[in-house]
Amino acid sequence: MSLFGKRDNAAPDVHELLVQDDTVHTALMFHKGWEISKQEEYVYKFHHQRLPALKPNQISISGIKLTRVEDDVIIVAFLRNSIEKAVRFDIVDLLLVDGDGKFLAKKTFDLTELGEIPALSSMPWSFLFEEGDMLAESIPDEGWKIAFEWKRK
Amino acid sequence: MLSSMKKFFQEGSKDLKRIYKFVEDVNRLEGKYERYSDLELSGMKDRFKSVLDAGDILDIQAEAFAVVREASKRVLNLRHHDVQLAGGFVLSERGIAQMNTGEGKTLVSTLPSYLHALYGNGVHIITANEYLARRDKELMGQIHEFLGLTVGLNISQMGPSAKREAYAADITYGTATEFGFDYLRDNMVYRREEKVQRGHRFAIVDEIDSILIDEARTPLIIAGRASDGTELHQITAQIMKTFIENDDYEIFIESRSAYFTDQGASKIEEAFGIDNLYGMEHQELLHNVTQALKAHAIMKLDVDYIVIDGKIAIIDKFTGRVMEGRSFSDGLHQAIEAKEGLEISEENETQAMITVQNYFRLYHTMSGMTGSAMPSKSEFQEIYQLPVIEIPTNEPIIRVDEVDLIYKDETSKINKIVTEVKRIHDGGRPILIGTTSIEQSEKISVQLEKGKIKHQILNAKTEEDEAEIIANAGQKNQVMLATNMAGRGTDIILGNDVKELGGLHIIGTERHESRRIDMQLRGRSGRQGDPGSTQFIISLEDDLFDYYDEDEIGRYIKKIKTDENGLVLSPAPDKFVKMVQETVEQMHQSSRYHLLKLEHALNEQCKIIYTMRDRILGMEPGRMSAILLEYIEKYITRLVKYYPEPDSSAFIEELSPVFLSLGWQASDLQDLEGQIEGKALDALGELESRLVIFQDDAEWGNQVRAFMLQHIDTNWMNHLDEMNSVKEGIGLSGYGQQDPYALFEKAALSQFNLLLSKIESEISIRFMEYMESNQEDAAALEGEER
Repeated sequence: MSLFGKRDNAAPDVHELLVQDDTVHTALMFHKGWEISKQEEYVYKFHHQRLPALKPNQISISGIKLTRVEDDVIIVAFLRNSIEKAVRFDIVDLLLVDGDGKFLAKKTFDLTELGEIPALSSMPWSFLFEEGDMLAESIPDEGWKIAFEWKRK
Repeated sequence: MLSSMKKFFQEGSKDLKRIYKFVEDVNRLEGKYERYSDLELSGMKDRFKSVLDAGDILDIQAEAFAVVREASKRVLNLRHHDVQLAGGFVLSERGIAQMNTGEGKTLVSTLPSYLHALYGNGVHIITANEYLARRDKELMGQIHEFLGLTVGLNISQMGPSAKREAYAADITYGTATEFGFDYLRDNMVYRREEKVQRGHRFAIVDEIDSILIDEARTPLIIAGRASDGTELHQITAQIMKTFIENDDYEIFIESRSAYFTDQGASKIEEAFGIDNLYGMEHQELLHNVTQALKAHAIMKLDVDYIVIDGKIAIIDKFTGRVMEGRSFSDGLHQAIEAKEGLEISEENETQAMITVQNYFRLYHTMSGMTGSAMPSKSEFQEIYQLPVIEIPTNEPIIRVDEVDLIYKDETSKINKIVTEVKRIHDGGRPILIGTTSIEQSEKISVQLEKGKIKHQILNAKTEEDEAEIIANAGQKNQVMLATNMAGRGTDIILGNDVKELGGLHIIGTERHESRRIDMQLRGRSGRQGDPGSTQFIISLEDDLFDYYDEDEIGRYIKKIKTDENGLVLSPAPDKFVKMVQETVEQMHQSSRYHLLKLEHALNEQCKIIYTMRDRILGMEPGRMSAILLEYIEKYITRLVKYYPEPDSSAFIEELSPVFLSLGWQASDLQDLEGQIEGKALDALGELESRLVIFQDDAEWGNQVRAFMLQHIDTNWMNHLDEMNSVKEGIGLSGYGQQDPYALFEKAALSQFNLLLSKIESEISIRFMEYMESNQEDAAALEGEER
């Protein structure tokens, strides 16, 4: 996978508890640069709790909130890592799709500033899709999904 | 005349003897002032003032009352009755005059207000709403103006300069809320000239029971600064929608509170992925979910609040009216908005807060009038040291108060109300139906419509409309539905021929939690000797019984015998209702005592902080450095006291800003063994000499003033918030053998000491930092010049 680079050093095994029955319940982490209030922290905790468990060794993204700012949309999503090692992202393409899998928007993001997502963890991040990134007439309030566009080599 | 007054008062006491004698004195002076010219009457003001300067208020009391009576005769063509003089006497002497509706309380207030205005420190007359303030000011103000006094009106929406003018007047009319908020705002200003009030000398509070007792549980709060809990409120409201009573939470109706069961708490822990909702680190979440639960389980739409234009408006339980400009505090407002799916308003942080009661305790002399003080006589005496004197009516009351009809359920009750209305209405007599909520009014209205009885629901937008509509309730054939206290302060005057029909009939549809409110409802009929009648038609399903012990109600209901219409015949329904009402009243009284006891400590602290502020506000700019040094000295002394071994490195570290600000090097601070305290005080001396140059710099002085006030204010606000959570804790936990109030006072005191030391240290350290940076700037400047 060219999408992200694995860190060399092994993750500590403190997250063993998170791995149960072949599924992984990630732990919630916040980026150091995120200044959030206690209330917002609980909002993320709540959304994080409701995410489905992951299979081991997956990287995934789950959107939780869509906010419109004029013609742009901001998507808040959890980046999730069920690998027993920390991961780093660099350049990724993200898609917004509707319930039928139709593309709504697409944009390339540089996620190097995100730093490292520890083993078996989820981290919320926000993604701005501008007017020029839109592929559809409009973005619905409900039923949208955010996903990685996997590139074939 | 003496004998006729004696006839009025049933019970004899030494107070009453003084009152008889006084009324007689005033009557004797009537002839004297009748012969005075207008000019001579208004000139009396100066003569009285000079007597007051040298002597006692009692020397001029009777004369002053006689002058006001004469002025009133000339200006309004109204002559104060003997009983009104008696009422005025009670007010003048710091008491509560219980006077019935229609006895002209407004006119009574002119007597003591004139007298006490002669001191020149202002008299505040508090009315139940702004409409009444305006009305009374315009009408009664004419008497005062005729007598050479100035009169002001203090209402919301007025700018500071208009307010200042209103307060500068000899007599100022307005509502308790507005006076209280002005006080809070005055204690947030940065310059003394910005204040609007000029002290608290004498207040006459109309409907004093509603102000001191009924509104006891809603403090006045000035709030600011938004926080970002919007989404969390929505989430917790969603969670509450899935919660089931008794499984996930329990309701305690008596205290209007709800608590999570273990199951409910676990569900919340699960939803947020946390271990223990009650853990120290989750206080904020606990607070949020507790308010969400209260919004979900306790607060009811159309009873506690209504939704207008997408916004929550609080309903006043006593009047059924919307309380303008008030919101539920402490995040409850937002929780209710989330529950109703409305846009969430900004949540605010308390900046200043006072209960209406504590506001009135600021007055040198307070007095009050109401139609219903007697049931709370002991409470007024114990808490406010205000005696209640019942003033007889000018004409004997011939109203008939019929015994209550108590039905087993609400349906039977409403059926009876409708048949009664029909029966009385057929004869043309006007009927006023008093309900406890708008919801109730509407319920009964539907049934009246079914019975084809034309009626009017009083649900007006403004107090003025309300007064106008209710004034018509005495017209022939009128059937009016109104909440108990709607249009209070407005007389219901009987229409033509209505007296002959038997006057106004009042039907009470629920016994109120407080007998005083029932009394007020009854008092709307039979004013000034008019005929009239009243009756309560209630049911065992009324809200009142929810506050009472469920099991005991159940036991009673098992025993009752009813007739075919559901009327409870036995065992002794009236006694049972009376007992329930008294118990509920007692319960509310204890909760008021509880609150008052908790408020007491905070109120004392508030006064200390406001005195600190006032001292700084009142200081000449040139004296500001002295007061600043005083704070710094206190800070250093406190530190010296705090560190038992004054040479410890922690102590030096804490003091280092003081030294560094003087441009001392860290190396200077080494090897200070045994001399640190002296050194610190030397530092203070040096600082003092440095500040001398600012002595004549008014701008600098004013900056220091603003700087100090800002630090006092922010710390005080934080303190208020902290104390609020301590108060919450007092309600929740059990204390074994310990007295919770003593514990609270202790906690309050230690928090307050912490607050004082925080204020001192923050002011000192911030100032030192400023000095240090100044020094660097100065050094840099010097460098450049070279």
